[in-house]
Amino acid sequence: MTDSTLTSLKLRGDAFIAKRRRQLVVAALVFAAVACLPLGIRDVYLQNVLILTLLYAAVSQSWNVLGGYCGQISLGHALYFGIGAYAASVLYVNYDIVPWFGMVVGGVLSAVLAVGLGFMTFRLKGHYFAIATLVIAEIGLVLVHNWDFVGGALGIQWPFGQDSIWTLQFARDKVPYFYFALGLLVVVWLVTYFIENSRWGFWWRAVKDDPEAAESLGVEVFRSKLAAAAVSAFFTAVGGGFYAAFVSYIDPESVMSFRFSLLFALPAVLGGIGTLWGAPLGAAILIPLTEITRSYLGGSGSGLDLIIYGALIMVVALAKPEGLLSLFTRKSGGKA
Amino acid sequence: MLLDVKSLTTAYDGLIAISDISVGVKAGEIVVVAGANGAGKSTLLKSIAGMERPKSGTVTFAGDRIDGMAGHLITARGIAYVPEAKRLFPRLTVADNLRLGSYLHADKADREAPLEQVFALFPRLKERLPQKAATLSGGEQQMLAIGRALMTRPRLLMLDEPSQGIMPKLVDEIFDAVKTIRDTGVTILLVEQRLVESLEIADRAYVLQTGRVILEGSAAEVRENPDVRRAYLGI
Repeated sequence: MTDSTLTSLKLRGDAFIAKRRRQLVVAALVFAAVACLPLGIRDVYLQNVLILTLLYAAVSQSWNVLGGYCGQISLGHALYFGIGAYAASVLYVNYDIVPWFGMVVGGVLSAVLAVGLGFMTFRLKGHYFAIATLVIAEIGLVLVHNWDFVGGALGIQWPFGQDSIWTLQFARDKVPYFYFALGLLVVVWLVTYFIENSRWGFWWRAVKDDPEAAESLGVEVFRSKLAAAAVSAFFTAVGGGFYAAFVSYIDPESVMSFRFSLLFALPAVLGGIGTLWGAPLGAAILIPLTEITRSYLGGSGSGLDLIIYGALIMVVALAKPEGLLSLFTRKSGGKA
Repeated sequence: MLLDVKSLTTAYDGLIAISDISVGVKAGEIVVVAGANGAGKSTLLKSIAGMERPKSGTVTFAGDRIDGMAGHLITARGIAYVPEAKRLFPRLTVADNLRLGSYLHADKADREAPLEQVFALFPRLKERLPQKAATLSGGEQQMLAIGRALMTRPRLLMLDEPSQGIMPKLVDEIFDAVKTIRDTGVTILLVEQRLVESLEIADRAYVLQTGRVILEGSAAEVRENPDVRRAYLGI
């Protein structure tokens, strides 16, 4: 067989390769533009909002691996976020281990736990799975509340020290946190980008669409779900570890409450579930909104942001179930 | 026998769907399983493919027992199953649907090798590669479902009502393709309500009724059977 017939029989032609390359270039441009934001935005409050937006974008994108690509809707990702936050905090405060390492430890712990929990919960379908994840996360919250070793209800205060890249403590300048959060988003985005076109990526989407048809093609449905859960939990926990270093004080409610589980799922749902840019887009809308309502309405308005989310999600679900991103992407693959 | 099903019984929530069914398929044959709706045809295929767990009986493929095995392991052993109503991945492109069938093989360089055969059978699929599967016509979707199954490089291809929901002109095309697939060395187990057309390409046939085999024989014998002629051919 000659080379030309070989290439003509490939599933992926030049157009596909060009599209993938274009996606990378767009991503590089977007991330580069975002990286320039601190040059113009000097206000510490606004920088805070930016950092949280990037963090939620990254964690929501991690959630999207399991929820969006594999179709297993988790409402308990606060559990993994909390594990990351606690692992980084306990290791740093009690054992002087730098949070860089603590975040990875939290990530690995969460991934292992996600696989263990997956063995029990992935036999459940649809709503039952979502409810199970919610309940398990709540159990985790209660356990941490009553666990003195990790500070119980009082939580863990990070010691004040010199600003250092090693301990991820920057009291004077928030900009390093900004770049860490951006870095995390870039990493998670790239992981998603490469997985999207890999065997696992296709298996996950097949499992989401039709598990039985997937299995008839040799897809290991159960293992696919476990793998997605592990990847998703790992990066969620890394985000949690970073969050602990950023706020320097954690207690159970401030890293593991149900609110976080919602805030990880909603950006992806709002922006477009199972897409490369849905979660970042959703976070860019939701997180500033949440921070603004919180600061303007103060303590009395707590919960109002949740009402706004609720309304937004209802609008999206009714008008654009594929998420806001579908407004921007050209309809591809139509009969032309 | 490449596939040997012995006394297979499968029940849904205690309700017997197929009862004590024995079916054999020799390598290189096209075997048709016919019967009315609810006769248990689909359940038989699902039980062989590992989508349903049989209550009793055995399924032997190429000398090994496969009953009770997980579906993906059965596919890996060389049985491809094209379920009823195609069951494509509508949001993925035609290319990606085909791709999903090819991942079974570890050797990356070799994964897309069956494409040549798939495109020779169904040239339309080649034109439609970048389209979403949902945008295909019924006939094209069936071609894709069969093509996708062929990407797993089966020794036995099981088809559940490939003619369902397809315009008559394309039904012939599909049946011709099934014959061509057999001629390339893939054994076929075909479930069909259209007995007449399927008997034209079949070597042997089984007729099911309410979960039991009521008739079996060569295609010619089944065609000449007076009960079949009355029930299916309207003579």
